Amino acid sequence: MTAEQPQGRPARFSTENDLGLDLTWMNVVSQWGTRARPTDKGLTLGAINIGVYGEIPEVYENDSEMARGSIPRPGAIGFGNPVREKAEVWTDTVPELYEESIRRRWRPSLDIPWESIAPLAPDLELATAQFATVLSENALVCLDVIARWLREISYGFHEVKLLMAAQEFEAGRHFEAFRKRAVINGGRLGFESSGKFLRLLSDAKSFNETSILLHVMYASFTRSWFSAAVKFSRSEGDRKLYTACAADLDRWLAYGTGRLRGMLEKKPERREQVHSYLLRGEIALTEDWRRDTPFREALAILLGGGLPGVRDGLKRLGELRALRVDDYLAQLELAGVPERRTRVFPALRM
Amino acid sequence: MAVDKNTLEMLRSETGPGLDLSWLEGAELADRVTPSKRGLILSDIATARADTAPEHSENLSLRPRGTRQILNATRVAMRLRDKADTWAGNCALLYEEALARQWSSATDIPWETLKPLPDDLELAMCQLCTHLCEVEFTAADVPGQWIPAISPDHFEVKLFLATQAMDEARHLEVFRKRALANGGGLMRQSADSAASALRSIMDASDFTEMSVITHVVGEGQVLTMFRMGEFVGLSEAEKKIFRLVAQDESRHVAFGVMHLKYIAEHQPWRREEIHSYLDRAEPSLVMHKGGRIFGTAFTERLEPLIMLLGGGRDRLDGGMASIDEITRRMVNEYMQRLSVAGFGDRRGRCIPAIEPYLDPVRN
Repeated sequence: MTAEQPQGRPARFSTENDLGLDLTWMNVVSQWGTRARPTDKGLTLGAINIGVYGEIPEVYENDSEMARGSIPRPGAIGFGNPVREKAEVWTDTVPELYEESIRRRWRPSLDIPWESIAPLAPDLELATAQFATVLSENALVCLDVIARWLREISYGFHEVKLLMAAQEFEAGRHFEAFRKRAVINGGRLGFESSGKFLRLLSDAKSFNETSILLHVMYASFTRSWFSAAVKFSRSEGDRKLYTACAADLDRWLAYGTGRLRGMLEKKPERREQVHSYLLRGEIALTEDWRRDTPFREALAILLGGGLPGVRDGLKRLGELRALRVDDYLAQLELAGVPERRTRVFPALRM
Repeated sequence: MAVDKNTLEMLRSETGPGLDLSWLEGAELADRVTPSKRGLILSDIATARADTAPEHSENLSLRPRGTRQILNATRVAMRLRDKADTWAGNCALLYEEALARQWSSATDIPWETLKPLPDDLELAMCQLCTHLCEVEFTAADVPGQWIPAISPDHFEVKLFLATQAMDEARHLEVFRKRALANGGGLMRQSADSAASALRSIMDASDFTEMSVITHVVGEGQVLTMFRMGEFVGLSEAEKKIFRLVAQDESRHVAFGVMHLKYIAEHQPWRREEIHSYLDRAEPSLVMHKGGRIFGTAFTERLEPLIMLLGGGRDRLDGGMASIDEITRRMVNEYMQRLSVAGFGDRRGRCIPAIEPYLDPVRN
């Protein structure tokens, strides 16, 4: 069903009363007659973006807490949300990505068949614990980063704020799930990462920089680890864990690439700045890779099928790294940055 | 079980790319953690591994509690390192409960039960929803301001606050959806007094200050209101919205109460400071006296409520009587929560406007 077109206006009501009530609000409505209709996916955010309520401004000037489309009060106090340009945050899939995030929610405690994850040999179990430790740490930092930016985004782009809240929630879920996976079979939490990339992400000074690092780089590279992990998983529980997390990150990527493409279409002069952020990220990832020996060796053990196959695993890891870089560059192509293929930091591939 | 040392030595001595493998040395596998009836919850792994949050965190890197330190990891100055700064004894449980009780405003609300309403009631519902969108915006943003400042040694609080942001985001969209689904639309932005109250939450410069104003006073207040949703809602869709939102809010209030309790037990010297926050926030609990509203405070919340509870523009007296009853409940539930948190003495120190609504103390 489609939305009913707004029409008419409500009856006018007298504000006179014996209780000292104001009641002037009864005669102030922005678009009377709005009647959004549920779609086959229910009453979605997209379904209510009708009439004036669906107009997404290029710049949202109002810095109060007013809901977009309502009648502003002159002189309302500001809330100081600095990110107010549509080009910085928007892509048309945002409402659908949010609804999909809600639709595809899952619970680590019950939706992962933990009982199916039988104890592995000590080398594999400890390698899994190390792998999961780093994934868990990464997710907790992502939670911090998303949380910090949530309030910075103007209320005029509430769809983006909703999506960010959902991503914050998903990051928490990933942290929790990997922490559980690390220890369920008697493994201990492993070593932390050296944290160069995570610091870069935490220290980003604009939403654009944050989104490039988080929604494109982090999501792309981590998504590749999940794909690899599905292949070396030895239980239904592990496969389900990595698959569920990958599906979440697919939405992050869809947002990140869509947003970046839209931003560059509107602001082509920012292209070189985007490359600067990408280069900084690539250098940090390379540095982490060089320094994070436990993570690297754990992956080699998992890819090699156990400690005796670690050297074979190292070879596979090299191939996997090259594939990860290809995946990342393919995402950047989707984001409208195909020339990164010729400019990528060379050591990222090695 | 551990990894065989001889295998490690043999691998290190082989030609080819150098292997370190020291991270495997001395690592032994403990017993498997058994999921409880509710699945594998956070407390299952915490109990099995004797993993408790430290009273004070010395962790200055990004690593979550229990993760092993490397010496060349980047250092990050964390602001809130004492457990009492942010902790609540129930936060892990509330986190798991939040995951269990997620819902979808798109499909879990029976939108088809909305029926055309007389204009006065539709206007009132839309004005109330417009106001609630503003409230929920702030409630979603506030936890995020604090999450990065919390030590990763106390990650359970971060996780809980992330669920709060998710809940409030959902509330925002469900109220917006209701305003746009039944022939009305969004209405007038709330008065500055309401915005100032929301700003005071955002401006809090201490976590406990924020939690007292947000979780205990503010969300406690709206929880009572949402629990009256059976009387405010005019269709099954609206009643269900209020029921589900109240269910979420009750977790946020429970966090605030238990955080306050933790402070009362571990940092008793902060009692007067807490009372000062309560002094500041309490006036929002009672916004009318003798059947009249004070000034313009929360006009866009109270007046639509009066109309919805009374049943229309011509039945404002009945609505005002219901507001009186809601206020009585609000005040007594608030005082009960403070008593649970170890602040029973608030009864003798509350602002005068509250006193007429307090029930006598039961012995």
